[in-house]
Amino acid sequence: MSRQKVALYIICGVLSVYFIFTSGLVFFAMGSTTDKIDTPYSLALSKDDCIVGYYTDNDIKCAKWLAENHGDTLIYADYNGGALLMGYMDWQNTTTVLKSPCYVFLTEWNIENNKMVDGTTPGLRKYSALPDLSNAVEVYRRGNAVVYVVGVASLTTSAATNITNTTATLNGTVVFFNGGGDDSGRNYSIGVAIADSSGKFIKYDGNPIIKSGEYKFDAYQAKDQWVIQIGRQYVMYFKGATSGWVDTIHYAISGDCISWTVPLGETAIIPAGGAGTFDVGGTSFPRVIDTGVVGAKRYRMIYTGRNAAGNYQAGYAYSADGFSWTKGVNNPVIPIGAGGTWDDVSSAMVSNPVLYDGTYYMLYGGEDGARTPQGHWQIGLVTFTDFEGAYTKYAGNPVMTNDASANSALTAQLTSGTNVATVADTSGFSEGQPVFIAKDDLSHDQFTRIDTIDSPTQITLVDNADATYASTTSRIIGWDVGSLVPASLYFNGTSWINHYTAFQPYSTTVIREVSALATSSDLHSWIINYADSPPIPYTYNNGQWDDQSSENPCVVIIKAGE
Amino acid sequence: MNKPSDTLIACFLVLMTAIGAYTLNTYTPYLTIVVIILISILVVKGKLHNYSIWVWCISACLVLGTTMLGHYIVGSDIHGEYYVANKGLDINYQYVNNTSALLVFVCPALKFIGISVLWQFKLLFPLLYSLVPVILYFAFKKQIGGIKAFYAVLFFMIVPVFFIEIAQIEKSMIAEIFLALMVYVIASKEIKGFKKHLSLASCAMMATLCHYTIGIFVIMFLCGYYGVPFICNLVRIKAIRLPYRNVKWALLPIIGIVATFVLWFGMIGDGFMLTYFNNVAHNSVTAAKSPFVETETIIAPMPTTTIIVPSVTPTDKPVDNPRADKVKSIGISYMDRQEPLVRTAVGMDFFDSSIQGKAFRLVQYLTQGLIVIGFMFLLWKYKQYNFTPEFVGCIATAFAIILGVIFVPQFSSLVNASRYYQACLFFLAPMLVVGVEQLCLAKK
Repeated sequence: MSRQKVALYIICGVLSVYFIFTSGLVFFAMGSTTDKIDTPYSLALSKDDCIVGYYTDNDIKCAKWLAENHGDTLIYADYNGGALLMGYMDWQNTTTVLKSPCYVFLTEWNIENNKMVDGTTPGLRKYSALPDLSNAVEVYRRGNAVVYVVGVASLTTSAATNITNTTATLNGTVVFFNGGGDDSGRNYSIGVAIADSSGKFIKYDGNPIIKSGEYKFDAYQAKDQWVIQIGRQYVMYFKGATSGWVDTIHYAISGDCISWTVPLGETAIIPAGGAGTFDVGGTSFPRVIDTGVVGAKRYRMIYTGRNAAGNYQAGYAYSADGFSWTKGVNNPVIPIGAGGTWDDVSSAMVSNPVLYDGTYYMLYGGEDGARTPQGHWQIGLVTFTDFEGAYTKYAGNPVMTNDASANSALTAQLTSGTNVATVADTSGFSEGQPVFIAKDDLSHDQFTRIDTIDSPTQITLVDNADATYASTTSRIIGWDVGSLVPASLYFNGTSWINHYTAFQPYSTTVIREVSALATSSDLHSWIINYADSPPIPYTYNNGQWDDQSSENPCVVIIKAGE
Repeated sequence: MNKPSDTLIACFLVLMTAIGAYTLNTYTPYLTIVVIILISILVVKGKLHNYSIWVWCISACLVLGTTMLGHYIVGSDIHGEYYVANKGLDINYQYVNNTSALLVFVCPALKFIGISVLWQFKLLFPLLYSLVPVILYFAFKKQIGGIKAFYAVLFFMIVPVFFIEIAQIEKSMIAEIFLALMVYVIASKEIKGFKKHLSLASCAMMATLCHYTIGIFVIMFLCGYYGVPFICNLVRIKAIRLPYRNVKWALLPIIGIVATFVLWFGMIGDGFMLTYFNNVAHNSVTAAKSPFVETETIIAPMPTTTIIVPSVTPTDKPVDNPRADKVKSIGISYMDRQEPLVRTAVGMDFFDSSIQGKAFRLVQYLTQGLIVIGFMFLLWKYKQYNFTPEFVGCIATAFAIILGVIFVPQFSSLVNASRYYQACLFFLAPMLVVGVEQLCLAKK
């Protein structure tokens, strides 16, 4: 054999031995360390080890979700999780230091191996333990890949929901409300308003914050919202109505109360029940509280179910984390009353339950079959000490009823630009009362309020008429002549505050829904606050998204920066 | 075996490797190792002759064995690249991946015609990258013959940087194609005069536009290409003198690459990359002046707004380098402050490594020693081979680069030491074969 050939054999031998090492075979066989330079590894042979960021489809879904939803909040992840996130966002959005507030992203590898991977120097890795997530709240999950938000604040349950958030753009008392709704009841969306220094709510310019039609489940309506805080995240529970008028309850999350996302997409958290159940026809009107008691039933929900006969009744559900819910076994918890009683058709659409001196107090809407089609919903009181125990209706229900007398036809033309109206009878009206001037043919109406009652047949309105309203075919009508439905209830230390919705009955098809405010010292007798009603400003025919209605006020208190 | 059957078998092996990796088949990596060793043995036994095809087969198996793993992209830097490739050019975005013309122009264009960025990264670019050893094979073949070129390229391929590190960096993969073409042009005696310089300029600019790191290597090698033979002229070393007629064209690639750097990197992200290069150079000079004196300014001059290299990348060093803290310490020798890979390369951690680690280091040092021996023999018996003077100049530059990584402070902060080594192997790989061959022949 020539020396040239020998040289080639030697080269082949040296390179073969070298390749045994560089291929990662020795590393794999001998179990070398990854936190210091020892023998080379390969990705192909080490795909189950920490070296490779090998990702599952669920990891990628979580990364995409974070990219769309994290806002300005940093995301804590291990070396491989952070690398994955870099594919979907600017790398500066990730952090390897766990600090509050931030998201925590754990890949399926992290969960299944119960470890994190740290990059030390280039090419080297070491393991570390999973972070302490005892104060974190899970906000998104796909398989074993999961996203948390760190830090859980204790919530007050005896008053309005207190919300704190260091990134809040809203501060103070905030109301989430339904707006929109056309003559067919479609296009309800959700908006937000914040109280100014005088307590008046100012609507956010960017409303609606949740617009119907984004999903199939809310093709017709997104409404009945309720907002709480879970960790550093706001969670909104709301109802969606499909184009087939099937109602289901969903949730959205936000870091700033402005930008909301629906993590589960079309999936409802409280879907309609099976045949024969009280909620077979759909679920709506969720009201959720955080009891603060960590466990399987930390979060409690009272919601509305519609049965096959069309009766609405209140049901109960519970959750450990606020996101996965289980319906109670004793539903409905507030069944309809006996025939002929004030709530013999429906007993639902509750306010939030308020814990006071060991008892939960809650307002609910009762529908009276005898009062159909208008003015049929009134407000009653129910108490209970255990969500899964007995619910006691107050014997003096209803505690709030509509003001049917504030409804009188014009007896003289009300000319555009004037504000003195002549009606058949002014005895049903009060000074300061919010009213509509409406044409009976539904072609036009205007929202204003009564300035003074000048005589038994004449009233002066606060605003000039924006059109000419003919005699006998137009009328002055109180804003709460129709139905009443509760929304938010809280106790401010001296009085109970009831934010509710008032309807007008002048048509069977066109519905105006306006927020209203009443106070009480005993929950039985309520004083309507005309001066501050409607708390959510309402202007009809102004061309805005909410000029048909601004109702169902969900009032929360945000304490920014705490 | 005839050529078509070689091609078919090679394609089949590559396809099987890619499918095996994609499906995460457990046995595929082992089979790939066996096949590669088998090919190298069959070549030396004279059973395989179409070396270029088998070079490609080995190259593609190694690269696709990494990039095709699972259903998603694999690696660390690659995720930042993925983000930019999907995002497209953002002229103001100060991010290292935003400076790659490949990522901001080519990838979006390919995406526009229906090739997803995912498959560009998993399959398309790796397949193109697998041609780098083939190009090198043809370059080396001109100098040392076919079978020795095969082994020189085999050495180049089995250094893990080729199929692990670079295979995770798309911009480097494509940039290295142009570097390989540059090597081919340098090695070729058929390409002459203006055509040669124009080719070099084109390759240099394209490599730079793809990845600044390769652009830096290109500048260094061009310095060797023109500088070393020129110096040999001055000191009258006949063997590797540069023909004077070529000097007038030297400005072409130099102007081309400098213009590329200034125009392209000066424009993107308000020129943050130029600032970065300037700071690294400044830091190197500062540290070189007083390498053992306490200083807090070695890293500090880099303003925070120009931190542009992801801190999690395994291949591009973060500017906010933790070694800055160590630099503060007085009494720590220079080599102790070098990055781990450099200390490993010079044997400083030999006794701390495991038994298998020691064994690997011995083999690694053997290959490095053979390279040095090969170069010494080349200088001694220059006319036995067909190396161009410029290629020899580049080999000398490669040695200078390696010495720079070890001894010039902050030099290795530009790129990982492993990347420097791999870039140098574009010229040094044949030296291993020359070294073994000359040692065997020297026994006479």
